Amino acid sequence: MNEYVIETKQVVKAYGSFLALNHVNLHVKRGEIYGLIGDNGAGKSTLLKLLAGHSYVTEGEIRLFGTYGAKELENSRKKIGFMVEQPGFFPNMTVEQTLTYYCIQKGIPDSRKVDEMLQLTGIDEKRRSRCKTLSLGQKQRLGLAIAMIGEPQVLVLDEPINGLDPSGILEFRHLLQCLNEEKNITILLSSHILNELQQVATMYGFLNKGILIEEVSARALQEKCSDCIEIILSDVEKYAVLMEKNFPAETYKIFPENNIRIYKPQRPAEVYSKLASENDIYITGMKTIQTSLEDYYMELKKRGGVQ
Amino acid sequence: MMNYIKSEFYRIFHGREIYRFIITLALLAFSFNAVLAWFRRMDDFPYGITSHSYSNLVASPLIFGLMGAIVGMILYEGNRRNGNLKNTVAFGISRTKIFISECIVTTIISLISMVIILAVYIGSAVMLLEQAGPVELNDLLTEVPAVFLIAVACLISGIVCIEAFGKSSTGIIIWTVIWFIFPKIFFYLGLRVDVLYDIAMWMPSNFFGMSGMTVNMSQCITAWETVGGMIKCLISGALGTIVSLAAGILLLRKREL
Repeated sequence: MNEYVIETKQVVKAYGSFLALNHVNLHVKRGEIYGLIGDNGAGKSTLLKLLAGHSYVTEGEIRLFGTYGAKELENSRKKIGFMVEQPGFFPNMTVEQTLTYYCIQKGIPDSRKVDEMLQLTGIDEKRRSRCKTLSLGQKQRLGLAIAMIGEPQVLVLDEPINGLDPSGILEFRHLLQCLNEEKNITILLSSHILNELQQVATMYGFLNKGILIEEVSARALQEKCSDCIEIILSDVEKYAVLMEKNFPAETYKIFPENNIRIYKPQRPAEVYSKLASENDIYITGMKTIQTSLEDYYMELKKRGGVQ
Repeated sequence: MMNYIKSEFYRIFHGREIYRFIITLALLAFSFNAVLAWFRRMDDFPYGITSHSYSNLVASPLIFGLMGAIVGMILYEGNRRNGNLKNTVAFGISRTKIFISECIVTTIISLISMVIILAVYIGSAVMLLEQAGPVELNDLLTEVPAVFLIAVACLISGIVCIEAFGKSSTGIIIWTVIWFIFPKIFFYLGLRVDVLYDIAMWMPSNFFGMSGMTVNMSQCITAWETVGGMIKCLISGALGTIVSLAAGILLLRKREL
């Protein structure tokens, strides 16, 4: 079985001379909730549209469930539920008719599936309303219901919480977590609301100006973002040895340019500076860092993805 | 593809558009014959006969094509704007299959519409008007198979135009140019270049209009009354259908949504 359910290899999407996506290598593993982070115009929707088959790559390759090629991708898409950009409906059809229409299209004759989807996404009371009368939040829910038809193994959702009210956002978050944990559905969702993504995602991809600048797991990101003391030293290797000897329980990581970060330090900062000075290691800089996901993203953008 | 066709029938029969279209045209057809009958009762009105009523359709065969294109446009005009196609493509159905399914669905719906509207038209003519004149029911009934493939070509090209171009109005203008302006251009160029004239005379609006088809109150000579004429209608329609289908597949298969 392929490790990645969604994978892009050096994907380029060009509109004339403008590169909307520039050699993107995305990797979504089975069971993950993958948060695709990027500003407006970063290329998130473009990437998801390529996955959905709404547009075509200029260069590179898309693999879904390890398969590639036009026919194979079409077949693989049957196992994926997509909600990309604004969900599309026939304005004069009712919510129930719309779901029935898409159930027929997916070859699901069981009308109970429609009820199930209506209840799951919380739009049961709107079943007889025409789609054109729905609020933005209700349209999002209907879009999710359509994506959920046929019990997909993967959900691809573009800005799914747009237009939802605070309680809707909370419900939606619970729904995603429930689908992921109970039904083992892999979820790829894009958003520029980082706090919301932070609450559900297990993996992150940072997209900036069409370039996927980093993919990082939630755990690794947490480590990176958690409180740490950053010390710039004259001899970082020697200091690391001293750390191992004196404070073996501490977690630290060495970075380029004689930089060492001690994560969640268990002692006051002075203890670490004393350790250096007592062993003839000069400290040229020292600071305490606390990074939010927003800060991390901004920093990443500034550095252009260089770690 | 079968699932997509089934879902489209579900959508069409649960919508109002096609019912409105059929009811409106059936009412117009009935009203037209009713007005003719009413005028005939008031004075010595010469047009209150079945021949005149039938001649409206027999003299303008492309009206069937126009109606087919309108049905296609009614059914698929909002497809791109509403974003429904995005869901269908994301379900893993190829654009080519979607397009071919749309053509099949529109052809069947157009056929059903035509049968109902023609039944009302002929029925009301027979009931309300005097059966007289050179144009007979047979001329109208033989017109249906003669123009069937041409109408299919018209409706397929209608779907292509409405879906391939961003604005519906642009699609309608291009469809009109293809079916009415291009043949005229070819015809006039054909007056100078023989090859172009031969091509022009395979175009329906030219061979219906300029190949000696005469339908009026004194005579009825149709393009399809001879075996040769009927075959020409069928070949022209088949070519038009193939060209429209090929153009649709080429234009729509790589279209960005």
